[in-house]
Amino acid sequence: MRRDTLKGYLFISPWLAGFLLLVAVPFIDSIYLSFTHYDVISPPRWIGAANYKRLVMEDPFFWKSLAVTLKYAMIAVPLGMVFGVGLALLLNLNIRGIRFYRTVFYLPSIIPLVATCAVFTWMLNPQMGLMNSLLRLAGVEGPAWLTSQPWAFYSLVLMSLWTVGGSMIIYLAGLKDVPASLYEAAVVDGAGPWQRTIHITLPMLTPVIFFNLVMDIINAFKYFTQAYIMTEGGPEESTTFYALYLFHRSWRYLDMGYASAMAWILFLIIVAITAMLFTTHKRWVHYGR
Amino acid sequence: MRPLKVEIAVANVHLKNVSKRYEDGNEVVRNLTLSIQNGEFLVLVGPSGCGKSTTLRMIAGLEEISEGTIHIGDRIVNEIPPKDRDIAMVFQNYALYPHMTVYDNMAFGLKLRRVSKPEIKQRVDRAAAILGLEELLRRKPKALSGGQRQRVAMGRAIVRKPSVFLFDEPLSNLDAKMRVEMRREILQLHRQVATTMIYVTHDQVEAMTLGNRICVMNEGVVEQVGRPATIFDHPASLFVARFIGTPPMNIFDGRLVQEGGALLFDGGAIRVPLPSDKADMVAAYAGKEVCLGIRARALRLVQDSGAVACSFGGQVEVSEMLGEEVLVHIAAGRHRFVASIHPHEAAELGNEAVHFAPHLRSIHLFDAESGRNLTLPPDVTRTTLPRGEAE
Repeated sequence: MRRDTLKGYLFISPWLAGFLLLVAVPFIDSIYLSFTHYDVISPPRWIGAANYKRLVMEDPFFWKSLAVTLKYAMIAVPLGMVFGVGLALLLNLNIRGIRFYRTVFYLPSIIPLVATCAVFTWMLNPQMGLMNSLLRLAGVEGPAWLTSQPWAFYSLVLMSLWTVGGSMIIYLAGLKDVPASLYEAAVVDGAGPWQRTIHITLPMLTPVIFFNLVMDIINAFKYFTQAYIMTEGGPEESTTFYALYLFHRSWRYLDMGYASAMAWILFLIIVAITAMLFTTHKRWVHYGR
Repeated sequence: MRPLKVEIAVANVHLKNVSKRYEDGNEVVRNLTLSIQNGEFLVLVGPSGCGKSTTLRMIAGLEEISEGTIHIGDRIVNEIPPKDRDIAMVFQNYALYPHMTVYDNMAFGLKLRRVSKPEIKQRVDRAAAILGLEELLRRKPKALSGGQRQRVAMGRAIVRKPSVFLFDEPLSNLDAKMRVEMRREILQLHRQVATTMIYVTHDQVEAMTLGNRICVMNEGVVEQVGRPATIFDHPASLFVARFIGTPPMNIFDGRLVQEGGALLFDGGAIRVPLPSDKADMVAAYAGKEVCLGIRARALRLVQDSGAVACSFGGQVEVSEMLGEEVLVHIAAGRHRFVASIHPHEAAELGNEAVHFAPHLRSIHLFDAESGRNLTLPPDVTRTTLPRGEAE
């Protein structure tokens, strides 16, 4: 028995070593760093809660980036859910070539994010981009999508729909899990397709919707890559998301203590929101059977 | 359940030359013709894959009808969607909406039909009273036992006041004790609502106990339709004989031989002279392969084989004590059969060979090739064979 346990640990040791060195140690270390001044070059200097105080009391960019991130979460997450569920409903239909459509709509989510950003930067180029060329055909002069306000922010919101296939697949799996007999009972009860969707499909899908909601919100708070590559936080910080600002603080200004404090505040915000969602979930999430 | 009067419309259901074919060419129901009378309780029974559920689902409108017509009342319903067929259905796994309370489950169909709120409440309360669900109306299905869920599923059907109730193996998810209890409740319900009920089951005991008439199906066709007692006493085919009744009818293969001016079933170790009325019916089969059918309870244990006109013996293999009776399994030459005897008789059974005398009035002879019962009384042939149903 004990030999087996030892062997078990031996087998997971590569992962365990990676987890301890690359995740657990930095994670715990960052708590300490958040109470220090640390510029990477000289050793960290204990300054108590000064970083936190400065962030909350004196740093307008902290609040601005938090506001940008919250706004993004409040717009992009619901939008993504509506599109994800809607797409899953369509891709759950029994029509010819449905496997092909499912593949096509899922494909964007497995393309490397950097490549996607490069393509979108070109598409949204005001002079030669596909977007404005099409608008020009319709007689409309499109805006400078990524470099003017408020378009830069909303360009990123719209772009988030490009990868909705990832959550769509999970919704689709949820749809496949709804017992067919419930639909038959509803048909006999007199429910049309729309009523079946409202009264059967959506309630039965709520566990999956809840899961995706939590994951989407966490991901929204970690939103970074697209803003870093496509807008660099501009124009006028309108796309400086929290994670991007954190990155600037750490690697541009080498203010690691300050950035660690930001990271811990972000962590607490995510924990608080997730906990809040879990308190509501009894009211609207229906676990079947 | 309390006696409460419920008025529900009734309807005739007629199936005329109904077939169901799937795209792959598989034909699961073939040319089925069946009439169900007003207020009748008809049970469709057969082994899995015999097409009984498909037939029910075609009546409900959940499966398309490939060929033929189905009437409910005076309408052809082939093209009418399920919700307008005036039917309600109870599903095998109950199909209760898990996110709704018991009340909402029952009210859902009425809400969709825009029945007024007070009327919905009145109907749900009444159904709840009939089924003893008053205390459970605020609960979700998850918090109910199997029997309670079953009642909710029936309540959902009752409140709609349909003219036909359809049951698709509603008791198969319950344990044996609960099944007996629910069987009684369904019978009481049928007595109260007096509505046409069509009930699908693979359990022949359920079929026998519930149905006014039962329709035995096999491989997509009707083998026999009739009152349970008629089908038990006069199975139209080998299939029905083996399917209906516990234990199943004993079947012996052999041939009909002419011996001394009388017809005799000759199965080697088992030889049975035919009474004259049966002999008349099968005279044309003299010399041919036939099967002899005898129910376990039509065999009487005899001590002295010389004292009766006909008997045959064998060795006891095992005996099953069922309380009221003992089923003894006998090996006689190449034949195996089961006889039912009284426990007192069983106590005296030794290891020596035992002898049984068949009750000659209740033997059946079947055509070995087609499986058809050759000794059916003419009125049974007329009223219970699917051909007799055709218009």
